[in-house]
Amino acid sequence: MRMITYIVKRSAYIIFTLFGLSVLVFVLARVLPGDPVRIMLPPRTPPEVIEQVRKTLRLDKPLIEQYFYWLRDVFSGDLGYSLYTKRSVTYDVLQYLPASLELIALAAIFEVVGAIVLGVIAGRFPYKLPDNIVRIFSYVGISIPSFVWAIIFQLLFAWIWPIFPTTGNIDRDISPTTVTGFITIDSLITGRFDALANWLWHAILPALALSLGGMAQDARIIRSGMVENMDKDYITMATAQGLPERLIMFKYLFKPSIIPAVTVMGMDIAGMLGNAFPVEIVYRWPGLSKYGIEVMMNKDLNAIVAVVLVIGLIFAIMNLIADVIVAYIDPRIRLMERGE
Amino acid sequence: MAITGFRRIDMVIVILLIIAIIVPSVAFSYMAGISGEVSTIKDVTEDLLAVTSDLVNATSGIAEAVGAFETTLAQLQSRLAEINNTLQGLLPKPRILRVGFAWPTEPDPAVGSDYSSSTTYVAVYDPLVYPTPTGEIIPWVAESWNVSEDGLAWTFKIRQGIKFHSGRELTAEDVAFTMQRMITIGEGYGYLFIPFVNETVVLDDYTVQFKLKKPFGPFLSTLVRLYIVEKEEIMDHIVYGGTYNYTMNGENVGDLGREWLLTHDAGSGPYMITEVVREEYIRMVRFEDYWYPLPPNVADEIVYMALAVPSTERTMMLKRELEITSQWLPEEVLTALDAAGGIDIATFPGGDEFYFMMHCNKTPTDDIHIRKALAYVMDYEKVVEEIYPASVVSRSCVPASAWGFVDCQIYHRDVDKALEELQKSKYYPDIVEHPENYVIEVHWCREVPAEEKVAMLFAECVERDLGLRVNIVETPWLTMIEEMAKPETSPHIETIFVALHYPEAGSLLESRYHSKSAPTWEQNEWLLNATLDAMIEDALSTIDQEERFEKYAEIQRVIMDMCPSLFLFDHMIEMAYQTYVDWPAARGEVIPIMGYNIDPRTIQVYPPG
Repeated sequence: MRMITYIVKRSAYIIFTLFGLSVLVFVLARVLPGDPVRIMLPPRTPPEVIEQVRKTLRLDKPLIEQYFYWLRDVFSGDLGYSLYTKRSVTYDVLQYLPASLELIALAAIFEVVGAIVLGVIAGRFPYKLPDNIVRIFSYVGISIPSFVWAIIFQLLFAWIWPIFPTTGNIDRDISPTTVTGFITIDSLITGRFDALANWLWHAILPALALSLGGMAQDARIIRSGMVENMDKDYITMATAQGLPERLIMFKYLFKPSIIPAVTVMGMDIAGMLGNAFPVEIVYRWPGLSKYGIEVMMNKDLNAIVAVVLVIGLIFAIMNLIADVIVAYIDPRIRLMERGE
Repeated sequence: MAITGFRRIDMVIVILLIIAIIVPSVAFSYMAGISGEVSTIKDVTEDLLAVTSDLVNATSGIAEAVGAFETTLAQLQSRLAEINNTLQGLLPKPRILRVGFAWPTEPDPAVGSDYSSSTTYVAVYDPLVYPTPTGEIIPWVAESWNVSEDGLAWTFKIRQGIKFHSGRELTAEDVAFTMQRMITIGEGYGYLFIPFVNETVVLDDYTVQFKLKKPFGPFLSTLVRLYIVEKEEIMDHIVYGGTYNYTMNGENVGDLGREWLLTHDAGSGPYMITEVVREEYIRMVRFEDYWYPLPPNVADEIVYMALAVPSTERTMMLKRELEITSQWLPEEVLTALDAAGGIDIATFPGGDEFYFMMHCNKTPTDDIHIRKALAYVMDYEKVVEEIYPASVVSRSCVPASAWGFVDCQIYHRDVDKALEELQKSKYYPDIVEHPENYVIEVHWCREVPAEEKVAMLFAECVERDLGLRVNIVETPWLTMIEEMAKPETSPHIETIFVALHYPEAGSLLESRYHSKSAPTWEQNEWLLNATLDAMIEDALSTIDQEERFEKYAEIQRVIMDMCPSLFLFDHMIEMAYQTYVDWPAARGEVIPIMGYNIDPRTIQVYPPG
């Protein structure tokens, strides 16, 4: 019950955070240089047309009034009109968000599995060859940004060795019937495993490019935690008591070592939605990050606010999930929550 | 008579005896029956087992037969696949034309005016008149036209037999509706017509008349941007009560089909939109009932796609997943693609010129001698040799591809002349003795990195040869637009490309140097010269083309003499294309109007075997 209270309390904080974020972004987007209507229209558009468009989009009203209208519309599920795509921002978000979430989910799997495997191998053999190899991988992985990986992978595995497709998230003639908007889920619902496989084939390179930085960083954290904990008294005692090595490794060494990595992983994965844009642009992945950058470049007021809010919401939810996982793994946190 | 001694207990015993006799007998006889039935069932079961056994045997035979049939079927299928492959090899490959663009693309011809949108309109719609590479306007939807003596009434005879994609015939009513819709929405190319068109009159099914507010000589040239939409189709798809609610001829016409046209078309062009994924691509297929005879190998399908990363375009070109690249590829990528087999580079004028726009109302560039000193000190040749290698030094204040252009360039690098002009300036010698008080600010557009190199070259020339001070400022495009809206926030120099709105010199003369353009991003000069304004207006109101072009020439000479800008170079577009594409623009047949150089009516595709 304490955990449920904790989750409810954190969820309430999320709502307040999002409200604050919405005010901040709404104001920031409007005070930045550049008249969005002038940007949208050709330079010689007559002033009366510019004024008419401004009026239509309520940009002639005071900022507070604009915010009130926006908030009212949001509660009815309308995120406003996009000057860039010339349609409802809600429609845009619903179209682009699933593609990004799917890509991030696969990248998250790569990141978590890769980081654990590499971290444990390096932690098990500290200062030996496997540890050194993982260290080099980590340095390279952390220092090279994801878009460089994206270009390298594309050139290597789509052009030189054409194993994977160059761009896109699915072949057009293979798309499953749209039910939820998520290709993966729709493929499963409609039993189109060929579509799922095709999506996976498209997603592997961008997901890998997106996950490498986080994977490298998390592997180092897990490895450091394991090496540090290896010298702890309770490990010595467990070894002296003759407990099997596998038990010591995974129950007493790995579990406490992964706790700091879980928080970082949560942040990494949450941050991917905002940071995925170079990868999405290189692979022409029809996702929300790419859309977000384009609307920011064109000062599309409502779309900017919507994208930032969606990213903020997902970031907050991912953080909450990471905290819950940490609380589950680490009994001390559970006890702290109970006040013991 | 009473039966004595017969007690109740006896009665019970008698009943029990009766029950004891009757129940077993009934039970026995019943069991005997069942036994019989069981026996029957047993017999039947045995029979059934026997039949089943026979059936199993028979089924096993059938299974074997089915197995054999399946094997034969598989062999047949395999053979069929082989035949199919052979046939596919023999059949002509589908002709697909895939072109990269900077996005977004607006499929609605009353909304967009950028490169990709303009190119899409050329494919999907028919313009009222059509431009040619030789600088003529030829009949298209309008098969003939005439203009009244006063230049205020333009009457067009509409070609009969043109069909929209819906199957309905294009009439004068559609042409009139298109013009009214453009003016009512006011976006896209609407600005070309709003200041001039007063009224649109349908004279009969195939005759339409535009009545102008004032004579406008290039009116015919602007009509290459009037892409005819189908009235009925649009009226059928109007949304009321949404973001847009227009009134046309006093009638509420909702959004005038804007929402529907985001993903559909209402055109009569050679291609029909089949799929629009906003932010991604537009897919079109050939319209079989197109009225104009097309060459035999034009594309069956066209995809215009958003491409923003040069490395992606490069990979797609090398994999033959793209036929023509976007126009903003870096020189190194173009060189690499040129070196690859089967890819060539097309170079043609983009119809735009690159300017250093000098503020004519701000110290010290308000002095014509300072402006001329800057114009003579700049190294133009170095710009086109090292920074924009495909481009050519400008020969006027309008690009050479504009109709009505005249070669009147008087500025070239001449340091002696530059120093001479500097000494004539009212700020001399203070400007040389205290250059820190006259720092010339150059704002270059952050989104076009090569502009910084031009700005640095300019600073080097000015500081080294004239001893003045230059401050180079990287400025986001949006900030540029904002700061150019007022004279007090406009810097000394903005570095900007400006393109023709319609193919005549008058287009740029007006948008660059007329006072009404001063608060827009197309003019940082704040020239505000009433005489020049009158000259431009006079030229634009001249109906006779020859006379109008003479006036354009005179204005160009006057502007060059005023030296409000540095006329650096005519921008040349460079695009890589597959050699299996026969592209007229790559062969030098260039139409200097944005969008018309990628006209799928004339591009033929021969997919490699």
